[in-house]
Amino acid sequence: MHWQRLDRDTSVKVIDSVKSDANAGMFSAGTSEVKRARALFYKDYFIYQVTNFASLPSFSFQYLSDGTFFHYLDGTEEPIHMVNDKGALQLDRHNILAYLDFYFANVSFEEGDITLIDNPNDMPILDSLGPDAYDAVFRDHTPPLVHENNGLDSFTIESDLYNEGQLVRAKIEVSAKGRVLIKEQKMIMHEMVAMRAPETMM
Amino acid sequence: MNTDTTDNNGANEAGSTLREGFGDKGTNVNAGMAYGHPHGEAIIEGAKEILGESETGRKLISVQTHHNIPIQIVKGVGASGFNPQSGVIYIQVTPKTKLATPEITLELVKALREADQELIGFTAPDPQKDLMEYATVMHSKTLDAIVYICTVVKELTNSSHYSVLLDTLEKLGHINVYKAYEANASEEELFDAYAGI
Repeated sequence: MHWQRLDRDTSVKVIDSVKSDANAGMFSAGTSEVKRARALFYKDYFIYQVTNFASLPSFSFQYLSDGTFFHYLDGTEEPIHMVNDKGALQLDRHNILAYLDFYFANVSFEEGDITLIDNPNDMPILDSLGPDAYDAVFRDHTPPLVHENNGLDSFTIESDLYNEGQLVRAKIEVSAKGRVLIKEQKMIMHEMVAMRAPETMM
Repeated sequence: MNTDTTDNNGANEAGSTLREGFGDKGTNVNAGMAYGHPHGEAIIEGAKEILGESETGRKLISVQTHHNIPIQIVKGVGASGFNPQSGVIYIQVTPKTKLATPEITLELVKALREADQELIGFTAPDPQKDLMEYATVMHSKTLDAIVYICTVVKELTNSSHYSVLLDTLEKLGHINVYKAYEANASEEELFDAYAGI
């Protein structure tokens, strides 16, 4: 994703727009930076990031916005679904993986954070795995496969996922409105031990 | 999130769109954006209850209470800590979380110690003046806060929370500092463990 740092005047306007009276101290124009990036899968919507560098680690907050309304990405699927339902989402087979990557990065799940593994060489998070698991990822990794179902109604993606130290091969269904459903998961470890998880609507 | 550039054209374009959104008088159309966590109070109480079983945890809470340092649980997936500018501890917690988790509890320890650092004058220098000094002090402050986490976890060795807190130290990447701390490591050895040397 290509981030553009916004100039001071625009940054102040964004900060004014996202600050809240109840949490007034979270942002200050003097110590905060505002960036935005275009998301390939959204028409007229950008991802904005406000970072307050007053402390380390710095506090960062992300939003989806058309420049007028800001939807705080609070860790639930709601702000994403809300923007999707405004007709801003434009999924195709070329941007579906980017959407899933974005979705998993911004939605927390009860079973922990989920990361889509496209290219394991680009994923420093995998360094935290034990040697056996690390070898298994590279040995058994298959690049994600994208299938279009019934024209553009939905997509099925077969991809490796990293979830709380576990590596799985999953079938993920994504509807045209951006609803994500993990349908099947098979654990990737040594002999590819099969495991079926209950269907989870996210 | 790979590149980070200043793009004046993009900024101007954004500025133009934003002006339309704000209106000529700068009306905020997003008034009332809610960051507060729906279960914030229960989460703070739960974390404080666990910390109350540790002597160091009790001291940190006592300092926070005495100096009336606000703790705000905000919805989010980002970092937590003490903001010296506003004097507020911010803990980011995903909205689906309803109770204090071991991770939140240890983040609270870190944030409480960061607030404590500020009170005792262990503050960050101006990065504009000497970036190297700033980086050195910030690493010292971070290590100091992690050592406080280790102290609390060690004091809870005989509690029911211990094993899960130990797993959480691993998850947070602090397990090597903890092992060094348990082995009565010197300051230099602790720093090596912190730096992953």
